[in-house]
Amino acid sequence: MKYIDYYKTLGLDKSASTAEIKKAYRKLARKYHPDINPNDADAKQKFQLINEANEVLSDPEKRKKYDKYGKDWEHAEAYEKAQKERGNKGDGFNQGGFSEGNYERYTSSGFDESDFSDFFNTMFGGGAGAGGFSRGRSVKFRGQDLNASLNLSLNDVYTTQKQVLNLNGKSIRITIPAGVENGQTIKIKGHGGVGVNGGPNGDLYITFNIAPDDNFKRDAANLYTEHYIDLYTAVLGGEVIVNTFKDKVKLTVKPGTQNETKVRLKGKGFPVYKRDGEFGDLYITYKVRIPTNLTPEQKELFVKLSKLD
Amino acid sequence: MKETVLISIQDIMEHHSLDVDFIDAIENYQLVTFVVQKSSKYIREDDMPRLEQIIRLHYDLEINMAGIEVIKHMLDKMEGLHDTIRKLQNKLNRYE
Repeated sequence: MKYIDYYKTLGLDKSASTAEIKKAYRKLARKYHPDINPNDADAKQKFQLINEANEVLSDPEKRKKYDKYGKDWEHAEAYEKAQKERGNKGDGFNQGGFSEGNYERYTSSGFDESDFSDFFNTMFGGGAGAGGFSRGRSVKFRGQDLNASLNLSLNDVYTTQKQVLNLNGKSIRITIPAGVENGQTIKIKGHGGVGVNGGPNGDLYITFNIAPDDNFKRDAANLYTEHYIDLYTAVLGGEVIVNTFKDKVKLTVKPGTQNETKVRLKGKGFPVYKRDGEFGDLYITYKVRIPTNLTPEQKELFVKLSKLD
Repeated sequence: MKETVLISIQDIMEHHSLDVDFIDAIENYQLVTFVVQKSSKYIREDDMPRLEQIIRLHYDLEINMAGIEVIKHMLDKMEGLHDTIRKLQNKLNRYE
């Protein structure tokens, strides 16, 4: 657990006045508020830290305790215990709970005390009361929206499938629609954090990370693959068996096929997202393999050929 | 067919201690569409997160309605851009 410099977090000196703390906090909260920075985990983390810094520095008692122990915070409890044992009543700090200071804290969707750092919870205890909110009313809040990512292969998203996710000890059944794209996020309503003061639960956002496939590249519902053909088939034409994503097809190669020639197979691509039965196309690029390590006879024939031109 | 759940604006106002002017302003700026039934206003349950976000922006960050309208436009635009970036990134993967 690391010591957190709350003054540095708010960009202030240790001598900062209450008004300066308030001003710095408001400015930073506006910048990093999760409503202004949706799906930005860094901003959210920063916002939580700013809130925490404000929680401490704008509360005179907490600030006093923080200033007194500073980097020696780990020993704060032991010092206070020793002081009490010596008959000293201490400095009137609230042990293991929040004092009802006249501070404000901005809210995001579902911000609660669980978002405070271990450092904060160890030094000041948990259990923030709703009285700390800036509007000073007992307000119902939606639970926190949660973000999760799911790693899948291209094969996994070729068909619609159900999966059971284990999130914070809870099993959630989700349906992954065929054709979902890499980086796409879906919302699972009501499966986020629990609401505050009886508010509704937040939502769960799942982002799909689809690993690149060795044989097929994908762009939306279209698939791209390469197929190697030998020089003789390219020159004279012939038939080749090409792998589609789930099948094999026999294709006729025209005589005189150039390297990098593209062939489109309609409807042999990937399923179109949320359009049952619709598929994109498969684009095959022919790569002509030039023979190497020719035998003397082959070489002679190529020379003959070249002289015929 | 999916059933639309409506929440009474009156209840929300009492709950969040909102004043009528605030609700009127939201309507005037067309930030959320309310449903009127028998002269009472309601909000669709799906629009609640949007309304709560407006409440936070207004009361917590002290942003006025015009500011919220601008932010909403920018956020919608950002979302569109993120989607475009994601699609372009997937397109670029073809060439890697």
